[in-house]
Amino acid sequence: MNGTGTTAEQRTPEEIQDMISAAFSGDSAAFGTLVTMYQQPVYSMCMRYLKGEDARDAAQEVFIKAFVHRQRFSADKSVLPWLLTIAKNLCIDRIRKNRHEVPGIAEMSEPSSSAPNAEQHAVSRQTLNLVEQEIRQLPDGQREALVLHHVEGLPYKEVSDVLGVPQGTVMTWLHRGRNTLMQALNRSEKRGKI
Amino acid sequence: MKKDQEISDLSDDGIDDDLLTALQQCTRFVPPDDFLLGTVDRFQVAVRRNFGWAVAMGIAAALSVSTPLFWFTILHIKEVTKALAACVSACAVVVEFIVTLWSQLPEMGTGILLSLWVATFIVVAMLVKVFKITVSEQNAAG
Repeated sequence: MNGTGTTAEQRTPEEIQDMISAAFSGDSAAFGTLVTMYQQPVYSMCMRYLKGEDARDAAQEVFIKAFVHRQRFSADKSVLPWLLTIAKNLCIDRIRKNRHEVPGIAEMSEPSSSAPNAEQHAVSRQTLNLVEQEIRQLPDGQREALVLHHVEGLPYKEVSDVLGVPQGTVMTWLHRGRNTLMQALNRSEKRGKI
Repeated sequence: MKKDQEISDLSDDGIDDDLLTALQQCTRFVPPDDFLLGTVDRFQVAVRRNFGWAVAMGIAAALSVSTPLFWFTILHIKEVTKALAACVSACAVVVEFIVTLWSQLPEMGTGILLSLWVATFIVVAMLVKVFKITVSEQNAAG
């Protein structure tokens, strides 16, 4: 249940499509499967904009909004970019509604210590701190593009749909974001920090 | 063309494994244990509300269409047209109910519901009036 359920990769597109249709027709079990499959990226997206309980509430509402607005979902597209778009817009609306400023990553909640790849590839605490610090400095667009493409695995087209910018802009943001992070890592290596 | 080449070049550079792992750890958050349960609970409430709204809209639509036709049928028109009006009324109710069931009205709120109700009532009343005049003219001519 805790982000360790069935993943989209373990199902065929037809199975996913059937599951989405069933969920949107009111089937609780299918809806539960949908949530299990996509809760982690949706929750992460909300955590990048909101904090703690607000993020959790927003992430849950994303799935409810998806159900309520199910007719806007195009069956020939992937569901994840659509959910992430809802999540992003919902978080921005909530921030505006609460009259808070859109928080930069500096205000982000603490990342989970049980990230899925933590065991697969050990990264030193210093590297992690450094990357964390550098990510906070990145403009919102570059940061989101990096996360959506490299962490969530969305192709350029889907990243551009979620962020609402042309594909070329996404590639430029990715290029600049990667360069910024790599340069920071290289500088630290030279200084012997890592 | 040159721009396309630049974009293609930009997309070619990869990402270092250490950097990717650090990026994942910094930006991935694991939902709390009761996240799924809470979401499904909210979903079930949304489904019930969705159905409740659809039924309410169906009833409202049925009333809005059938009320003027009913009174007009009872009070003003002849037997043949009574049957016609009853058929039109029944069809309108069925169509509106189906449309309502498939619509996204639940999130639109009470204001829209009432507006729709009033608008439907007015339109049907006007149609009935036109129909009545036509029938009256026919009767007078006959």
